[in-house]
Parts: sequence; structure tokens; C-alpha cells
Amino acid sequence: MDQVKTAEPRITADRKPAGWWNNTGIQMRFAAIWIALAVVLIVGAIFLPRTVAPATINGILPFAAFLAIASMGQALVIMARGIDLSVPAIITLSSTMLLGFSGGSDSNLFLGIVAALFFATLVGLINGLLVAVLRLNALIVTLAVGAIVSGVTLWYRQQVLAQEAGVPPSLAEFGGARFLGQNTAVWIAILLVIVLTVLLRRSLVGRRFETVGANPVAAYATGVEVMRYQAGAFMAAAFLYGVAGVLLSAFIRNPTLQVGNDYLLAPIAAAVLGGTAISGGIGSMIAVAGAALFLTQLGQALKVIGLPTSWQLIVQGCAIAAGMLMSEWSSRRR
Amino acid sequence: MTDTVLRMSEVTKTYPGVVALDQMNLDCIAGEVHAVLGENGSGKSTLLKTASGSVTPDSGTVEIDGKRLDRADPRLARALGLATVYQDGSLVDELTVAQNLFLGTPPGEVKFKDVNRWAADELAPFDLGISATATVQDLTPAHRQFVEIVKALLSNPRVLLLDEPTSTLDLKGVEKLSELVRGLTAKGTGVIYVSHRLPEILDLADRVTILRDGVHRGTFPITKDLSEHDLVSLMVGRDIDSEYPEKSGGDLARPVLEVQGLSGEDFHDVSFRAYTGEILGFAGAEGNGQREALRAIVGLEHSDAGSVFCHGKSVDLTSPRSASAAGVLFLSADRKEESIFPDLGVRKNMTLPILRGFRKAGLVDGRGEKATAQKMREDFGVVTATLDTPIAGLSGGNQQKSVLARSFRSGAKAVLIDEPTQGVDAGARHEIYQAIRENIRSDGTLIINSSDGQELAGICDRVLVFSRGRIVAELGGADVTEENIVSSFLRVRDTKEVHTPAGALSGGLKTLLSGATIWWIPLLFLAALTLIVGAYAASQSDTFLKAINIRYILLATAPAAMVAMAQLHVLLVRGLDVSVGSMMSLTIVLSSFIIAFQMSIPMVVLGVLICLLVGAAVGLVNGSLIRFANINAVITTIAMLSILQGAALIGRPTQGGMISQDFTGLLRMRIGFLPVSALFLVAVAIVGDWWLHRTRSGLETKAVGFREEAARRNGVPVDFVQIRAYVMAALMATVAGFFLGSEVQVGHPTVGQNYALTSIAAAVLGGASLAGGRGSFGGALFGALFFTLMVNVITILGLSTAFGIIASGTMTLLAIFLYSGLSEFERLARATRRGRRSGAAPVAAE
Repeated sequence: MDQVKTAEPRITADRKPAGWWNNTGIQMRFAAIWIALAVVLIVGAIFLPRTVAPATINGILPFAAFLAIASMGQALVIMARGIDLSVPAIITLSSTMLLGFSGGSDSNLFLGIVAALFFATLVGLINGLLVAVLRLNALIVTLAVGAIVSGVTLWYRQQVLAQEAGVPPSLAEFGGARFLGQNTAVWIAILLVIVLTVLLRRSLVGRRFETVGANPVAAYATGVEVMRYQAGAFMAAAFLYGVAGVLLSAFIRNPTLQVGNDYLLAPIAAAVLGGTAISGGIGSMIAVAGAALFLTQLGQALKVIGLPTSWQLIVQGCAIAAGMLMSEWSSRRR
Repeated sequence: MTDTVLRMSEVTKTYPGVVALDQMNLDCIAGEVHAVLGENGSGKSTLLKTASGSVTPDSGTVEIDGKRLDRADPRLARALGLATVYQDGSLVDELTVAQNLFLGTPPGEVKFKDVNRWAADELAPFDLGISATATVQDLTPAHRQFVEIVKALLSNPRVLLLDEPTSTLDLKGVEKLSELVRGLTAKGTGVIYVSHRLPEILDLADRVTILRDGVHRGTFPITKDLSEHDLVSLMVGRDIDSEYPEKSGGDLARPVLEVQGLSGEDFHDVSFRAYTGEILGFAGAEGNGQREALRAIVGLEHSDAGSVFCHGKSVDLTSPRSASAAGVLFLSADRKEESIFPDLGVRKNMTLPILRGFRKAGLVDGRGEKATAQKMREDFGVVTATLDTPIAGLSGGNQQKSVLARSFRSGAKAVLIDEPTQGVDAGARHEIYQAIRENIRSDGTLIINSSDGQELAGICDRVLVFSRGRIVAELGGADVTEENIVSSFLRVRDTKEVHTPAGALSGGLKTLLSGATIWWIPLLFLAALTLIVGAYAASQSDTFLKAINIRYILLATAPAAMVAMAQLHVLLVRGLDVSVGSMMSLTIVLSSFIIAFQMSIPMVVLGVLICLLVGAAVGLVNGSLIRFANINAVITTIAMLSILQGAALIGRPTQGGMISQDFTGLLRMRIGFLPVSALFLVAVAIVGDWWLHRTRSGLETKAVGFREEAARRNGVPVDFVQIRAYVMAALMATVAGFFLGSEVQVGHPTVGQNYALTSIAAAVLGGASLAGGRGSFGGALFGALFFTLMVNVITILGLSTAFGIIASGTMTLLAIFLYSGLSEFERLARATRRGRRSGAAPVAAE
């Protein structure tokens, strides 16, 4: 129930129209990650030349691509004021469905890919309905749905698949193939960044989606179908996780049930570092992809220094906190 | 007795761009009722806030009972003998009357166990018929108001400030209140009585002070000679310059919007027509249903009956979207919350409803959009650096012009605007009036709700006056003057009707299903589930009921239950902590180093202490980031999860390192077949529930969870309570880690990772609410037991471990659906019914 608001005196909160400054503020939140990336590359070039060697960079780019695709999904959910902790489960599900429906043979390759993407999106739809329509807490819903999906995946794998299952040969070939010197996954990631950016900035759906994230109450009052967009964010995100799952499987050829494990926290870190506002609405897919590249490169540098991979988790945790502090600080300044 | 209990001298308070109080003088003598009268926005609220110490005046002094209030501090004002009853209240609806009164006393004054008797004693002299043990939300608005007053009187104030005390009262309530006020003044208390209602003031007050635009217009003793008319003419009459554009009047032959018998909780039988080219105003004192009625026309407020037609077509009242499809668009008064998109640019704020029009080849044509936005900016005089400047950076007036442009150019036939110039400076106001008049469509109409009588008089062709939810007067033509508007709602003598809305689910079923309100319902539900699952397992397997299996279940319950109770601490204050699972993992890894195999007892003790210290530090960091750095709790604890998990993996990349067997042995000790840990858990749960339900500290925690703002007003140290919850959560997660460690015996770096989900699920199944304030430690313990039982049964029945995982996920969803999703379900059901009703309404227009 709406509380009756008491009459306030007519207060004029007249702020100076400091337009360019505010504009820069918004742009800065997306630019910061590129500066950070440059710093990592430059510091790397000076102290750890191996981290910037072309072979090393080419080696990490596919991983950056998988992370970028999953992170864009997470960023969409965050833009709609949600959070998604079912990413690992969905990636593993799509990978397992790919194996199951294709049966490792080229003749069923198409069926396998469609099944992988379909089931991933279906899980996204369930998340979306529970969060947007029933207004359940996104964190708990995605955690619980993630658990259910992992259980189903485990059961399916035990029932249907042999222990060692591989992707169809032509997909494996595709996963290892290069185009213009880069892994195909990298090109697909770039393509997705472009498509999503255009959709978000220029399409009717993208523009309305932006308002739903920026202020769902105002969007509702202005006649936008808020629920549909919020649920849609979870679906689109899950589709992206599905794509990441398929590409990841193609790349590693014999994916296990652990294939999605690294994608619980890293996509959140990338989304936050990429300037996605946790308060919704604002996000740049380009910056999120940059953040995925940054995190992957940083992880690589840590490895070269000789630190165990677990340091990645600490870095991600600090990155999330730092990103949030920065965004809180900049919004307070305004 | 002629003591002056409150004296305000030469008080001035300015806000940027507006003088809220100008050299105000007011005094209140012991035993008198001193009424303060003024229009909306005349400075009454500022006056009250200054007197009660919540606002610092720019100059001037406030004296309470002869002592000077030398700094703005509500507690000091209270100590000096002033008590305030605000309109929006300081009660926690979910707590009982007694508990609310108790929160209003200084700590230590009343013993918790005597609280009900004490409260009954406090209530008795007022003879209100309110039970001390009733929950506040079950009280009528009138009773709630009385509880507020009783609470304010607990400190035996010399002067009592009442802000619109009768706005929620029916006739009997008003009489009761008058009686109460007379009783107080007879005992020598001074009462400052702020009201809109002239008849009440004339009946009750000894003197009346009139305010207009922050200026003291005079103080008059109430005598037989003082007429309502005199008072009204003192209140109104701000200079009307050339501020308003000329009126055009509507075309009475062509109605645009027709509303028939619209009724809801706050408005009743509202019927009117708005005509082409006309500006129709809604007037009324604040809180008389005019706003709710306007919002109901676009489905933002629930209505039980009635129908709306736009150009003869029935308007679906389900949602603003369906209303806008029929050509009706609403613009909210709450600009920040409900009208602008703060972080988006001016252009995006303006073009949202007409984006479809710019579509070219599936994409929004940027150039066309920009040109339209530019035109809107010029037509409405929006001052902004660029069209892409985030609208939050503009002044209130320019923000308002932008969203007005959006509404008027949206193509809607009927535009509904709530408070078109609230929070807008004088210059912009003038421009807004011009723009409004110029932009009414030739086939459209405009309805304005405003609390400013002069504004309504200046721009409206016709005005409907609301009182207690009904249209009580219609003014048209030359009658539309500020004086007529104000006096028509000031002079109304009717009273509010009590109206109960009907829910979609019947009361009993609702209580049963959303049962978290009654503490034992979740427990009953859990007991039933446990029995069913247990009976099924026992019928399927012989091993299930064997002592060794029962003991195994109880042992495995220990970590789950501890972490569920840890989570409960945070849930109670409306938070969430997903880092508890990795806190458990880290504790186990730490134990494998500092509580290691064959360490001496003192070393083990030291190790345990260090682990607990780490836990406390983690909780402190979580709590501080959330409360002081203002970071979202979910994100903070996700970051913490990542860091703790990383640290655990660095310590032990793979399993390794035995934990001291003395220590694990201690935790796995048993008496007969019963593990000591089970007794320990029960003890912890009892202590926890005793704290939560039987101490002031527990009550304060619940108050913070239910309604933080009310808790703060009652002097609860909100930040402390919040941070304590996170520290307790991390500490108990550490203990949960010890128990889990005693099971796995070695430093396992990821063994705790599934406990975050389990902890939330178990606590919620045990009756904790994600909305804060509700839950019990016993419930969390029982919830954890059930979870462990379920996993055990699945293993015993030889099912795949997959089912265990699926079952726990499903149970979690079910738990949050039952305890929080159901009300949404009801809301959806109601929305569907409403949609159907309006669709089936007989078309009677034209």
C-alpha cells in the first residue's frame, strides 16, 4: 500500500547543470576498465614480458572469450537488478546436453547444439518467471535452480552418458580452428558483443529494457511491461551461458561435469568491473568484454609470477568489492 | 497556571530556494490547546520539526518548559519535556502494542518480562479498549493513532505536538481524541494541534496560529466571534501575479474521460467526466483519497468497483500499460521514485512512450529521435547541457519539464498529473503552467491533483474537492478560486468511513500458508514433513531407524544447523550472507594448520580462538562494507565468498592435513547413542530464541528487521544491530566449520560450498522471512534437521546423489515460495480479477 506522503515544503534542489561532468562520469565508469587493462599490459610488458608475448595472449584469448560471453549474460541480469548464481550449472547443463543429444557424432551435431541452447534458455525462463513474476529473491532462486539443474545434469550424465564422452569431431575441429589467426570462439564473442551492443542501444527492446533496469517503478508507471523484460533478461543471459557452454565444450573436447565451475564468481566480477550498475539500467557490453579480458590477463600474470590459481578467487573478490566501492563513490559525488 | 511550555522566538528556516519559516513566533501555555492552521506547504511540518529538534533552524530559539533547546536533537527535546506524534508514525506494525510501547522507553526502565502487564497499566487510564497483546497491524487506524499518542505520553511530556491527528480517524475516533486531549490539558499539558479541519479546531482549541508561506499571519483566541470565513481568508491570498496562463474552458459536449463509481480502500464512489480541452483539478487536504483515486484510474492503485472510459472505450484498469493502451497516461508526484530514470539521459527520459514511432528497419532511428527530443526540449524550455546528460543532474524544475514533455507528447488522450510543480522553483513553475496549457491536445484532457489551492485556482477550469475519499464539491467557472477550494475542504464535517478490502484468499487459509506470522506453523509443517519422509524411509529400509543411522543423522545435522542459525541472524535484520559456506571451508583449512593433529591442548585452545577471531573479523568487514560503504549485502558477501574460498584453496589446494583428534573427538562425543553436539545445538537454539523473544536486544533486532526507520526513531542503534548480525553470522559459521571439520577430519578446501544454500533454505523452512524480523532459532535447527534427514534418506534408499541435490534445491524454492511468493500470487490473482471486472463493465458512455 502506498503511504500517504506528507506535504513537503517546496524545496528547490537546484543543482548546477554540470552536464559534461556527469556525462564524463557515465563514460568513466566504462572507460576505467580499459585503463586497468592497459596498466596490467604495461606493467606486464616491463616486469613479466612473457605475459604479453603474442603466443601467450593468443593462448588466453579463447578463455577471455568464454568468460566474456558468460559475463555479458550476468551483466544483463544485473542491469535488470537481479543476480545470477546458476551460471556454472547452466554452462554444465548445456555442455552435457550437447554431448547427450549429439551422441558424439557429426550427424546429430545440429540437434546437439539446439538442445544445449534450448535447455539452457529453458532454465533461464524458469529463473525469470520465479524472480520477475513471483518476485522471489533472485539470489536464492538462482542458487536453488542452479542446484536442481546440477542434480539433473549429474543424473542425466550418470544415466545416459559414458564416463568419457567427447563432442562430435567436426565441432572439436571448429573449437580448435582459427580464423584470421584467432580462435573461432574469439570471433563469436566479438560478434555477440556487437549484436548485443546494437540491440541494447538501438533497438526498441533494448531501450525499454534499459528503463526497466534504471527504474522499474517508473517504467511500470509509464506503461512498460516490466515483468516481461526482467524475465527476458534471465532468459537471454541463460542463452549466452548456453553458447559459452557449447564453445567451451568444443574447445576442450571432452568436457566433464566440472566444466562450468569457474563461472560462478568471475562473470560477476567482470560485470561489476565493466561498470554495470548494480542499481540497474546501466551497462556496456563492450566494457564487460574488456573486463573479462582484464581478469583473464591478470590471472595469466599471477600464474606467471608463480601464484596458485586460487589467487584468482581472491583477486575476483577484491575486484568485486573495489568495483562496487568505486561505483558507490562516483554516484555519491553526483 | 500560566507557565509557557513551548516558546519559539524569531525562528527562521530556509531550504534552497524557499523560506519555509520566516521569523516565526509561537508559544504554548500549559493546559491550552494551541492549534496551528495553514495550507499544504505553508511551513507547518517545518515548524513541528524545528520544535521537536529534528531540524536545525537558521536563526531563532526554541525553549521547552523554560529550558533552551540549544542543539537540534530529538532526544534532548524529549528529555526537556516535548513529545511528538507524527503523521507517518513510529510504530512497528508487526510487533504488539506492548512491545511498541516498550521500545519507546529508555533501556532499563521496564523489565521485559513485565512488559504486557506494564503496557496494560499504561493503557488503562485512557480507556481505549486496546489490548496490550494485540499486534499493531491488526488495529484500526484510529487505535494505531492512539497507541502513538500513548507512547508519546510515556515520557510525561510538558508539551505534546500532534500532527494531523484526525486524518485517519472516524467520527468516534475524533470524539475520543478530543476527550483525550481535554484530559491532558486538564492535567496541565500543553498541546500543539496541527490540523486542516476548521470545525475540529474551533471545537477544541483555545488559540489558533495561522501560517501562510512560512509567515506568521497571526494568533487568535478562539471565541464565538471568530468565523471560519475569517480564518480561511487569512490562510489564502498569496499574491496572484501574471503567473497563470489564461483559461480556455472545456468543450462540455465532448467528454474525453469518464469515470463511474470508482471505489477502493481510500476512495469511494468517485464519478466524474473530464472534457476536451479542459484542465480538471483534484483538490483536498493531504490524505483524502484524491491521489489514490487518480492513481486507480491507471491501475496503480487497487480499485474494488467502478469503470473508466476514454473516448467511450472501456479502460482496462489492470496496469498502467493497459491504461496507456486505452489512451490514459499518468505522471507521478514522486519524481525520483516513480517518474524519472535518474541515470539515463534527458532524451531517453523524454522519448520512452513514443520510441516505436522512430523505428526504422527494426532499429530506433537515432536522428529522428534526437530531432523530436530537441523539439520537446525547446517547447518545454528544458535547460540542460546536452540531451544525453543524466536527468538526475538537472534541477527539479527541468526534470519536471522533461517528464511533462514526455507525458504530453506521448499521444495519450487523457493525461493525469499528480502534483505538477512539487519541488519546483517559482520561475520554472510559471513556465510549467504555460507549457501545460499550451500542450493540451485538441482531442485531449488533463487532470491535475495538487495540494496547492492557489495552483488549482490558477490553472484549472473545474475543480473536484475530495474529503475522506469522496467528491464533496465541484467548482466551475468563476467559482474556481483559492478561497473556495480551501474553504470547501476545510469546512467539511463528515468523517472517514472504515472500509475493509477483501483479499483473494480467505483469511484463515492465508494465515496458514503464509504462516511465518505465527511461529509454530512452520514448525508444525516441518514436523509433518519429517514424519512423512521418516515413515516412508522406515517402510522402505531397515537401516533407517537403527541407532547408528539416527546418530549419523544427528551428527550431520550439527554443521547444517549451526550455519542455518548463523544465517538467521542476518535474515532477521533483512540481510543475506552467502559467504557462510566458504567461511566454513576456511575454518576447516585453518583448523588443519592451527588445530592440527597431535597438537597440545593449549595450542588447540589457542587455535580455536584464532579461528573465532578470524570469523569475527570477516563478519565485521561484511557488516561495515554493507552499513558504512553502503554496498549491497548480496554483492558484499559474494565478494567475501570469493576471497574466503580463494584463501581456503591457497591454504590447502587439495585435501590434506589432519585436524587434531582431541578436538574432533570432543565435537563427536556422545552420551549413549545421542551425540553431545545435538544437545549443544538444542541449547544454542534455546538460548537464541530466548534472546530473540525474551530480551530487549532481541526485540530491537526484530524491530530493525521489520521497519528500520521506526526502530531508529525509537532510539535503536540500527547500525550496531546490523553489524552485530553479520559478526554473529560469521562467528556461528566458524563454529559450523568446526563441526563440519570434525566430520571430514582433514583440511578440505571446498567442503562448505553447498552450505550457503542449505543455510538459507533451512532457516526459511523454519519460519525465517527474507523480509526481515521473523524467524526462530528452533525453526532453523529443525529445518536443518529435515534437510539432513532428506539427504540421508536418499542415500539409504540407494538413489543417486543427484536426487539429494535436486531435493535440496526444490525444498528451497518451495520454502521461499510458501513464505514469500504466496502474497505475490495473491496480488497476481487480484490483478487478474480486476482486469476481468473492468472488461465486463457495462458500457454506458455516450
